Amino acid sequence: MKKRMVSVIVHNQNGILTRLMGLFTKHHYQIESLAAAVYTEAKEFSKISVVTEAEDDHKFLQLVKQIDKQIDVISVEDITDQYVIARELSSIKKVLI
Amino acid sequence: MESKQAMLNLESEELKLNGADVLIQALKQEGTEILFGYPGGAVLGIYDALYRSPIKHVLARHEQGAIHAAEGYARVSGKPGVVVATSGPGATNIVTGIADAMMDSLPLVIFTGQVASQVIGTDAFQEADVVGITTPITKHNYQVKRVEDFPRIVKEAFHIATTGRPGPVLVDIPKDLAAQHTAASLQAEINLPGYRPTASPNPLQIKRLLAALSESKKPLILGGAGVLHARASHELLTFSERYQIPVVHTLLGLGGFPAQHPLFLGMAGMHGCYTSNMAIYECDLLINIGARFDDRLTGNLDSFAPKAKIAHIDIDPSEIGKNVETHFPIAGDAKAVLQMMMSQKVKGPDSIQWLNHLEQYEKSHPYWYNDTHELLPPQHLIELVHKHTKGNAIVTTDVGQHQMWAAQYYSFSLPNRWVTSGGLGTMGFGFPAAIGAQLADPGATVVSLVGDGGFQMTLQELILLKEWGLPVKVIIVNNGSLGMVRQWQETFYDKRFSHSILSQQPDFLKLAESYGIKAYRVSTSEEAERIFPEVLADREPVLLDCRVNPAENVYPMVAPGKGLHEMIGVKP
Repeated sequence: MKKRMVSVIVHNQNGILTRLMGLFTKHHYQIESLAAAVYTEAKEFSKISVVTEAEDDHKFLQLVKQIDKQIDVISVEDITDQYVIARELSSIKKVLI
Repeated sequence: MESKQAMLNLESEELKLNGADVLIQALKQEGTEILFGYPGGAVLGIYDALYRSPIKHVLARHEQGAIHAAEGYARVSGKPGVVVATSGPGATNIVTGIADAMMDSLPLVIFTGQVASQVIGTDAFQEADVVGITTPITKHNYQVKRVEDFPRIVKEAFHIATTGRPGPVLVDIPKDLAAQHTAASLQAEINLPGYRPTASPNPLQIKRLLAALSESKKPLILGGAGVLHARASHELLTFSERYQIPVVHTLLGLGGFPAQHPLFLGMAGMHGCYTSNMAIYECDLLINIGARFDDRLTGNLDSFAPKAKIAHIDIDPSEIGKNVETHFPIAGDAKAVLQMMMSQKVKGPDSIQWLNHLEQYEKSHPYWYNDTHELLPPQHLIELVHKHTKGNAIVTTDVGQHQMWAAQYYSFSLPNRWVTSGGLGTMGFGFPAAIGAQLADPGATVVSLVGDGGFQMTLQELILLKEWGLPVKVIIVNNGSLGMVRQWQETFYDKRFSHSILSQQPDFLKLAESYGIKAYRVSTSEEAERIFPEVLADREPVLLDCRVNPAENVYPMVAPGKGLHEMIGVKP
């Protein structure tokens, strides 16, 4: 299993996040991390970053192409092999029971 | 002074418009002449606006009938089919048709009513999350949030449905927004920064493909429905003739290339002909134009076109390389690509030997069937339909055995005369689709070939033939069973016919009679031969209950998991 990261720029329209996540579900990818935020300088657009695990490069490329096909997706990039700054948010979890 | 007054009038006119009025105006602007639908609580406002409008409305008797009719209309006219359904059950009843249109890339614009904005999400009466339900089966969908957005959304919906790879677009309209008044201008602008529907073909890839074509000894064109959507039949014919490349079609591509043409081999795939499937197996260059390498076409991928370099021309880049490794990926509209390819003249392939070789296959292994002379062979029934319609009819089908026999034995020579549910394989599609097809082309002979199983899923639409005076010929290929299911049980489940035999059937003649439609029963080839001229000459709807040999199966066949070259049931 290889960790994969994609970065998607979307046009802020109703349901776009559902559409994207639906594609991950359809291709049986589990989402490890998801971050979505509006661009402060261009509120019409958002950036969505997704980390997932994928075995097959070819299949993952198909997913990327299908993301690109969505009407409200401006661009999508597989940034797995690029230099990226990865940040994690540490949070204190309430212990169950 | 007068013009100022007129302007004031116009302004006050616009102020009087509510969301539903704006919707109807926008539909008119898009050139919509006909709606297919069914009213209900959440679309009362829209229907009220429709009452004052000249747009025709076809009142199906079930929403599924409405949407399949819209699909038939879209396939034949090339224009988007427009559908209206109410919230909740109205919307869920059209889900099958939406998925069908998505799989077969048919342009539809669908308007569903929704409960009022303030109660959305409360499980209100007749509420369903239609946007959520249809997200995976639409090219795009909307829920209108502000009445001012109506004109833009309608414009965008038509634009998205009809450009690029066509598909269904749904607009969900909360009831209160249809009633709200607006002064919004109808001159809306499309705002789709992420939508780039027209990929321009890469000239370098085209150059490489043409170079490979010159080198090729066994080239082959595989034509899909993309050829029909792009209206590129003429270009396909010119291209294949110029370079003497034989052509095979997918199920949905039939009609894209004239069936009688010497370069046409036939349909390929699970029930394709021997020559086409062997041509795919043996070719050294496969040029796929507008087909998506569906598993029913390719059979086992490990032995699909094993000797060939593969070119894939498709308007949807995400289809290229999806199932089959591609050597020449060309994203673009089939017509534009073919035109670009023909603007460059290169040395053609040396294909004489290849063509002779394939001709031998055509002679030695044609489609074949047993003619018992006592029972009507379904294949012969289709041949008779072809003979008596001179091959010019619009033929619609459901899914199953009769569909495959129609694809095999009705030689399509004209584009967009073949209306069938390919990708989703929807029973109940064929009959309502014929209604839409006849409305799109009132002068055409429309033949709806249906199985006795599938017909019973949407037969309530019979009344529309009477209501609209549509001379559709309904031909029930009646074998008293779910034929394809029965065939698979016979072949792969040791003849355990689990729930595939329809032992009790309605009297289809009396049924037709109750709808005021003429009907006849046919049980032999002679009877069929005798009745067809009269039935087809009649400009009235007719139902024919054709009792065919129930033991007939569709051959040849590529069994699941097998390669195209491993067909069973080939003419011995």
